Amino acid sequence: MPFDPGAKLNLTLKTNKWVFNKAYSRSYYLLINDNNKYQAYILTIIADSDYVKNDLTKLTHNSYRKLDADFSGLVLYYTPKGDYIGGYGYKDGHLVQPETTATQSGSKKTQSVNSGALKPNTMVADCVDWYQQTTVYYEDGHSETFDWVYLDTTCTYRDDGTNTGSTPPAAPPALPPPPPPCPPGTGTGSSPCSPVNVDEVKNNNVPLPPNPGDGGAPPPPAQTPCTVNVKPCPADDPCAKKADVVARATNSIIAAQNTSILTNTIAHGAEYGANQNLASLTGSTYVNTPVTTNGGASTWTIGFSWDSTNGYTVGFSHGHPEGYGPSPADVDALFSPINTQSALRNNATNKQIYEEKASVTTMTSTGSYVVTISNWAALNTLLANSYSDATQQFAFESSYQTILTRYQFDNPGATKGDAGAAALIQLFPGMINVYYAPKGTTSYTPITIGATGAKTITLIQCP
Amino acid sequence: MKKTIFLLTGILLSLNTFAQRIALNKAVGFDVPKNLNKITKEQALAHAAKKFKGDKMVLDFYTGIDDIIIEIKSFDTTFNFEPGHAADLKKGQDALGRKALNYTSNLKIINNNTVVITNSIIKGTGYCYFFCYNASNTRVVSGCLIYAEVDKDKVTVILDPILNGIKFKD
Repeated sequence: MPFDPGAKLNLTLKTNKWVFNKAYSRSYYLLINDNNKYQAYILTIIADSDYVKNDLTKLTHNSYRKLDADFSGLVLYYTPKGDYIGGYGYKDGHLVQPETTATQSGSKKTQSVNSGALKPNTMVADCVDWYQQTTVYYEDGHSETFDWVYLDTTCTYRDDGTNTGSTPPAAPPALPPPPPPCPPGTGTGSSPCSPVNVDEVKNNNVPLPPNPGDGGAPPPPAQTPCTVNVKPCPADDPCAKKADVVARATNSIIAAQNTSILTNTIAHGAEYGANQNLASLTGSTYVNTPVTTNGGASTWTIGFSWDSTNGYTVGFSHGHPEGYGPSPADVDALFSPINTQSALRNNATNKQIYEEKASVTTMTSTGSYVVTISNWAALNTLLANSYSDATQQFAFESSYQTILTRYQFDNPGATKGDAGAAALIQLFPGMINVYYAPKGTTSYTPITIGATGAKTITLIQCP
Repeated sequence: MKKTIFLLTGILLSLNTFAQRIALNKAVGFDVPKNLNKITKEQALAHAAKKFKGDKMVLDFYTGIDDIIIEIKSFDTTFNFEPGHAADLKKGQDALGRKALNYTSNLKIINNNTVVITNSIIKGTGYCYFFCYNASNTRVVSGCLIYAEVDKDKVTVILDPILNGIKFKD
């Protein structure tokens, strides 16, 4: 995000449980001399309503030099480019101890002592999804608000008091939300892989500074590269693109399209769909393309554009009225533009951008699926040899139906959506990644199938 | 737990001669027509590898030269299928079948069981599936017949006695 010295900046946050009031936010441009050099930062102070008490003048009491003795809220630091560095939480003037962990997995088990016998406790996870939104106020009076950007999910764990044989511990007191975590892909501890380059990984273990004696804000956290071994995810790793899949699905324009697509597909028994066109090649804003149908129960007419007026097509979303998951035709439609569209075929940069961003979404009554392509060269070969004319396509679709039916044969309680997704994974091994979100959610998770036997679909747990 | 049995049958079959009854589990069994021989999974795999060398999908599914291999699957657990589940299954298969070659389907009521039968022929190999649901939509017995296309007229002859012989206890 470019920084305009003449503009005012507003950064605010929301979670899946609450929204911070943008009006309670103030941002400052800082130049700090650490006796070696000057470092530039954006400092954002977001006050909570308990502190503001509808008196917005209190916001002017707080800056890097001075925080009110009863300040409650967040103090956040960003680079001038808008990358999040770290932050702190305050309650009634006191720094809040962060209590998040990096993992999002389910319950943990701990042992507690009771009358000499160890009994298991059950820890339950309370998870919070964090999103950030930026608003820029220009000198000419207009403002621009960017889309919500998903940052990460943090979980805290609490003892639910079961199985202790003694009085359960009291519920923890209500605390203000913990400081937001590092952006996706950052953290400490070993990890199978990280969706970002190792050089960009930052230390998530920010120790609390001593309480500033002058009453000002604590200094920005040190930007120390992580020293543990965190490998970058290979390009074909399904977890590498999970954040991108979720970000697109939660985009307000895309989300509204998908809702309309599913509603109309089910209501009319026909495929409805919409192109997903970026407004620019460097941003994350989408063009509000129309949701259309040609009335067919198994076809939808896809469009393509690659210009600044109509947008840059990086995928499409459509509904399957019969409930099956993504089909071979969907994969072919996603792949084809790099061969059929001159803007991609004749321009290596455009082609690379398309390959990085391309995805197809299939909406069904039991959930939605997103497919991305992980091996373009292998897929090119397969489609050229097995899907290049009508005869081959009929045979390929027959195979898809047979393998899908086999999945239903081996997994009688499976949804048609899963049966189709499983068949697709088997027909395009190592060439696609498939993500699934339950109906009504955008909680996409990559899926895979068992290697043998019933080949039942399972979720892939990403680090 | 699920149970799968494999049967091997010759092309020429005597109709309505039942040699034995096989219990698939405590809740369902079926009368096996004469000339259907029970074989092991390893025998089924060996049979499948003979004719369709290198065809991965066929090897996954099993097939046989001059013979039809039948795989029948049952489940000890009960399900909670919707009342229109069988019809919905057929409707979905028919929608897919519009894009496929040589596809047919059928829905029948046999001995109060609802049976969906689908048939596809791909590269000279036929794949016939049946899904047999009990009257209360709590149990299912599924079958898969794989055959050479030249034997397609024999499939019904072989399949009908099997479907007529499936009996659920609940």
